[in-house]
Formats: sequence, C-alpha cells, structure tokens
Amino acid sequence: MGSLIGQGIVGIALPALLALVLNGLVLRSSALTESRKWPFIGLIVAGCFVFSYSVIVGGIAFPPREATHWLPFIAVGAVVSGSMLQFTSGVIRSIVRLIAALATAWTVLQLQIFGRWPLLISVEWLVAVTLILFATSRLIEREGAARSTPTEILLGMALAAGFGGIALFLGGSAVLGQICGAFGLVLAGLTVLTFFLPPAHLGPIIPLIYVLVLGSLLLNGSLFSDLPWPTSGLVWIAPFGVLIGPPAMPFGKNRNVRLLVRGLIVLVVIGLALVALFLIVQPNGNEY
Amino acid sequence: MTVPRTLFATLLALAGITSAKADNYKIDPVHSAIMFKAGHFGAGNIYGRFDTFSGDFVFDPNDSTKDSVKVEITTDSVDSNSAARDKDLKGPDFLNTKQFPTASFKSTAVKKVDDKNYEVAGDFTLRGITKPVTLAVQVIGTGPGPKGEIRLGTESTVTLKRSDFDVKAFLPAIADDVQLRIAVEAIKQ
Repeated sequence: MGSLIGQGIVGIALPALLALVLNGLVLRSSALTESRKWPFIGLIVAGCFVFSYSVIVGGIAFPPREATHWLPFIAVGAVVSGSMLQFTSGVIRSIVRLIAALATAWTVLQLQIFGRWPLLISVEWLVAVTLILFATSRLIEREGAARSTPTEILLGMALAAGFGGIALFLGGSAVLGQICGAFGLVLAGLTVLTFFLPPAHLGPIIPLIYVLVLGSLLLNGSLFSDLPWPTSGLVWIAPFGVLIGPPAMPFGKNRNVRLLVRGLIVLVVIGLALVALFLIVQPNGNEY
Repeated sequence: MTVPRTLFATLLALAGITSAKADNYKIDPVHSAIMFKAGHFGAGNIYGRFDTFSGDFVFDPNDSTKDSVKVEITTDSVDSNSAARDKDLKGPDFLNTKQFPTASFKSTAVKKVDDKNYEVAGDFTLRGITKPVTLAVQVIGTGPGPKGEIRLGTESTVTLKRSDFDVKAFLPAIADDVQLRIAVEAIKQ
C-alpha cells in the first residue's frame, strides 16, 4: 500500500506542484511578452503530464503500440500544434488544427481500424472523432476568448479533467484515472495562478492540449474500459458551462461571483456525468 | 535358444522404434485449465484462470525434436472469482482485451529431460509483445477415454514477469512475477 501512495505522490502531486511553480515563474516574468509566455506554459503543462504518465504507467513505450502509449506524444504534439496556431492565421490555422485532431483520433483508433472493425465503421469513427476534437478546440478557444476570462476557461477545463480522472478511475482504469487526475491538478494550479496574475488572453495552446489529451483519455476509457459514453459526453461538454451568460470582464467587480457561478454550472454537468456513471456501471472501487 | 530369443527381442524393440511416429493431439478444453497466480501486497496470492483457450501439440515419446506445442488463450475469458476485478483485468491497465483479444504460446524447441519431464522453449505473446519463455512440462499419463479415444495429460508451469509484457499497473503491490499453470488433457487425432 505504501508503494501505491508513494507512486501517487510522485506521479500526481509532484508534477502538479512543479507545474504550479514553473508556470508562476513564467507568468510573473517580465522578459516575455504575453503571447510568448503561452508556448512556455504549454511546454510545462505537457512536460508535467509526460512526467506524471511515465511515473504512473512505469515508463514511456517507444515505439507506441497501444492507444494509451500515444498520450505523452499527443501532449507534446499539442504544444507544437498549439504554438503553430498561435503564430499563424487563416486557412493554415484550420489545417494545423485539423491535422492535430486527425492524428489524435488516429492514435486512439488505429488498433481497431486495422482489421478489427469494418472499413466503413472505421472511417466513420475516424471522421467523427476528428470533427469533435476539431470543433471543441475551436469552440473553447474562440467562444472562450469572447465570452469568458482565461481563469474561467481554465477552471472549466481543470474541473472537467480532475473529475474526469475520478470518472475514469471508477470506470475501470485506475491508471488512466490517475493520469487524468494529475492533468486536472496541473490545470487547477494554472487556474489559481491566472486568478492572481490575470493574463489578457488564453491563446490556443492550452485549450488544444486540453482537448487532445482529455479527448484521448476519455476515448480510451469508453472504448477499452467501462467508462460509459454518457459520462464521457457530459464530462466533455462540462467546460462549456463557463460560456453561459454575458461576456465576462476580467477586472469587473463581480469577477469572483461570476467565476463561482460558472464553476458551479460546470460542476452540475460533471455531477450528472458521475450520476450516469453510477447508474450505468456501478463502480467497484478497483478491488485488486 | 538364448541367441534366437535375444534376436527376437531386439527385432521387436527395433520394430517398435521404427513404427513409433509423432502423434497429433488436440487440447480438450473441458478437461483442461489455464491458471495463474500473482502475489498480492506481499501477503498472499491471487488465483485466476482463463476459461476459453484452444491448442494442439505434436508428441513423439521417442524423438522430442518432432514435438511442438501451440496454445491460444482468449484474454477476455479471464476469471479471478471477482466480477469487479475481472473487469479491471480485462481493461487497459492489465490485459487490454479489446485491443489484444488473444495471448498465445508457440514452441520453438522441445527437450526431453526424462520419460515424464520435458522443457518446452517457445514464444509467449501477450498484449502484442512476444518474449521467449521455457515451460517445464510433466507428462501425467496416457489412456483411453470413454469413447475409446487416446488421451494424454500434461501439466506445465512457467513464471513470467508481467512487466515484460507492459502489464505494469500497481507494481510492486501486485507482484511482477506471475505463475502460469497449464494443465491439459489432449485427444489424439
């Protein structure tokens, strides 16, 4: 039991703390313009995710053979793609986003596509997952920028990832659950930092990392474990709770109330996701 | 009279050797079992089994170079006497049965230790990873079944490191060493 607790501390708490400190340093730095801070923050978030993954899974498999083996590579790829989104515009941005979404969908589905599923079903899945990842990342980035503060968007993503981890854990994969929980904690730390050091905008990098990483985790959970699809779906849409209501003013006097209300909306949706989980699979608490 | 009797016995023995051939056997799953054992928190062992498997082997008691074994296990049939734990064992943390529905063993060399014991080297594949392993095989016996068919029974053991096959969840709380015991009754074809 001691080794499991130790693994939890090193694999979950340590990367979350590390991300908090490093992201704080970057956000406070006066040497970097704000648009240049986000690639660094993205690298820190992805790096801490990869660290967490390697501790909890017991290493990084190369070349990747299974869908979950791709998770660290997806995180790093998302930083690269997100940075390209940040510094490009127009059609090129859409192409980069589409390639990132397609590559992520492919990594999750590849083993099923090669001979396990009929070709038509495989193509349908690939297209559907690609479009969902593409549309979600675009929506969070654009609508989030227009309607919410960076802290509100990050809060929605942190809550979804954190509770998504609990759902994955209870839905049959303790390993994926811990990885997802660690990811949620890293985002929670960033949420706290942006509350006290509010940036003007969030940019595309963090939303893209969030969408591709959480999308892969939830897909893996629902396709290969017992995480019910309704739970995955509700966790997926939960962060959109921060878009409800009129556009937020970052420095308005009702900032805290708005943040609390929007956070509660997200929590209600996540609550429904967990209710669905308990109704459908009756979690067992991982009795190994 | 001594010389002809000895000659006769020698001829009989030679006839026996030359007529002996490798026989094909098919595993009878109803009278066979594939079980596993893994240490749990250093306190005890968890036991489980795979309910669905198939296989066949070639056996020549006089020439082990002709012998070969092939076994395929349906990973989704894992049964550890706990439905909740079985769900976890089938999931991506352990056997990942949806992505890797089968595990298999295919022999590469069989060495006869004595009349009852053999060492069967081969490739074991689990979660898409193939590693060489050596099974210690004991021949239990042979005899006619209820329909007159010839049956041969063996028991084999091998200890695998699950981490070699990327099954690393909860190490070392759940031990890395997993002992497989394959007890089969096979029917001569």
